[in-house]
Amino acid sequence: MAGGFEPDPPESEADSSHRESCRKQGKESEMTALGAGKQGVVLIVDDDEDSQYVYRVILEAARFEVMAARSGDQGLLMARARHPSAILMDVSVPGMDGWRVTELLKDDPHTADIPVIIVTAHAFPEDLRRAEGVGSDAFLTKPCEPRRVLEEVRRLLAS
Amino acid sequence: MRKPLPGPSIPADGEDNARESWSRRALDALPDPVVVMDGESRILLANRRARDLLLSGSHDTEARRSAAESNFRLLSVLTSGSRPARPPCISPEELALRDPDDGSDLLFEVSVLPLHSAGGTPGGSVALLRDVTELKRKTVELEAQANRSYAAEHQAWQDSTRLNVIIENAGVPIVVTDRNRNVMLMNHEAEHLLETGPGDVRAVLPMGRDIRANEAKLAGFINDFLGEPGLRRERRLTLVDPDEAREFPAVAVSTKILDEGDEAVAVVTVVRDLTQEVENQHLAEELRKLNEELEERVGLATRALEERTVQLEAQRTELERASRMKSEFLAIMSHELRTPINAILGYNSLLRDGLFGDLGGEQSEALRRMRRAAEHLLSVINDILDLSRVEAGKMQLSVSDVDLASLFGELSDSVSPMAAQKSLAFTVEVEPGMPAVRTDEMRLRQILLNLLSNAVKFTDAGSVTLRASLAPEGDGACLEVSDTGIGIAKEKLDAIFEAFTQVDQSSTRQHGGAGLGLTISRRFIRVMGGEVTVSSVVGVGTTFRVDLPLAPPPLSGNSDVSG
Repeated sequence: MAGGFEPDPPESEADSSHRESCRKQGKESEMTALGAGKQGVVLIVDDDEDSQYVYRVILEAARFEVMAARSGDQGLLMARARHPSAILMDVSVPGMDGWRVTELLKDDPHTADIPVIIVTAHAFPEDLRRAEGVGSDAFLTKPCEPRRVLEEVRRLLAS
Repeated sequence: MRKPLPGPSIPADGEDNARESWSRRALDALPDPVVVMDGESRILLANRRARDLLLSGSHDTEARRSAAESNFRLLSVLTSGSRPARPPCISPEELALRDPDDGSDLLFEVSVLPLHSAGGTPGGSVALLRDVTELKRKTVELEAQANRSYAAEHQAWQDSTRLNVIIENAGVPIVVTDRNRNVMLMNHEAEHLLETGPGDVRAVLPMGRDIRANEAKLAGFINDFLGEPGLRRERRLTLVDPDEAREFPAVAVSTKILDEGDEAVAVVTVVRDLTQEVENQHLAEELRKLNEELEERVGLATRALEERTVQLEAQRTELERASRMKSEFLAIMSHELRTPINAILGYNSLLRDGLFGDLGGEQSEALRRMRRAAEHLLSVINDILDLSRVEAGKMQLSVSDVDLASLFGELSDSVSPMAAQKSLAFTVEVEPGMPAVRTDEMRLRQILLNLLSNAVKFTDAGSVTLRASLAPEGDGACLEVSDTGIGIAKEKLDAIFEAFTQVDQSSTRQHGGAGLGLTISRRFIRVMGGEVTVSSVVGVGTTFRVDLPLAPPPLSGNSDVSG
């Protein structure tokens, strides 16, 4: 299903310097943890603590830096400010929903290049169509193995 | 040759002069011309009037001479000897001459009598002319007058006949009265309506009174009209039908006929029966009332219908709302069930992968069992949700050309290990030349996998076979899953496609599954335009047969889902 999705450019110097500038402004996520930064930054937008935690653990184990947002609005702000390497987007989140956030990010030239992986417990065909409609790069349905999420992030960052 | 006729003789010369003188004077005194001529048409004797007509002298005017000569010639023709002799004094001939004095036309009746000489020889004649000019003129005038009066009389007769015919055939009572209210003319209808003559038996019957009343009413109207200005007037009257002695509505219309001095000389009155008109009015009124009633009824019915429509609309809205709520509920349920399973499977996965430290063998086994339970829970939830979605009309097909040989190959890869575990033979047979089937591959795979899993599950020894063949009619595919398992009792065959039913409730524990698979399979197959049937013999085996059309029916749902 992700065959038609645009390949994501590998993290560039511009991204790094962008992140640096964000650090200087004190917007560094307090969730930044072990082995951070080597593989890139992944933003998880999800209000379900367990999902957030499970995916954070596997990503951090794979040496990704992970930031998390519990609402759509927060996720949008963080994505714009930090320009992460990839975003795991749940759609049923408080405030602006994940569909809308994805749409806004993909409409904005500054954030359109960030791969967005929709990870949702909405598993009906119409949800897949909607995911494509808002311009997301991949669509995974919960329950989704942490390993599968990691594979998808790697795939999108490698391509 | 002519035989001389008896007549007066010419007096011989030398007779008494006095007598001759008297004779001449007597002749001259006659108002009518008398001429005596000899055989050669020479005038022997002519009285004054004859001389005036026939003779002229050199002193006379040309016109006079010409007229006189012409007159003489015309007369000579009558008296000449060449003319055949005729009996005297009969059928005097008319002779048109001209008055030499004024040139006017004169008409004479001429009687010519032959004369005999003294010797008895015929020669000469006497012509007596009678002036009938005035007589003729008067006769002609009288005739013309007679003709005119005859013509006038005829015309008058014709006119009056025509008028009578018209009046008599008008079909309505018509009365013409003079200015003194006397009846001048009355047609048959009017007589019938108004008159009671002395010999009229109706006069002595009770209705005679009514007829007199008719007359009185009409006379009153005409009387009033004559006393008023205006040339036309009408009045509604209630008259009595003399035949049926019943009252009827009528209208009398009177018109004055004026003389040169604009004085009314007569009144023409026409009576018109309004019965039909009034009846028509009544009918029209009844019709109008009927229409109103009908409209009212239609209005009531329409209002009832409108109310019903509103009710139905409300019901429809309510149903739509319920359907929408059901869909929303399903979406929420799906989301709410999947989210915790995601956590369970996620943590399980992290634990098994050693991300929270190394695990002992028992811990790993516990995690494996936990995972299997969670996955089973997930499949049950998926089944329930799928069924609910089919029932909510949300079922969607993703149609493509499915090559059965390759699909069966995939299925074989999944099923063979399961069969091998139970030491069952698993065989796949596809009829050569089997065409591709246009259907939803994912659904078909699920359905066949479900049937095959069941077959393996319920078979302890023998074989499981997956078979594909072309339907006898060549328009469909026939897919069969046969096993040599425990079989299903006849009385339970019908129930196996019903939701939450398994052949033996106890077998749920033994074999697992909520029993939803067959129910969902049948729904899916039907949406794809096919049917699934089962035949079984207890202790021998079971065959599930799926019949699918080579192409799905046109109304089998959306086909734009890519999996």
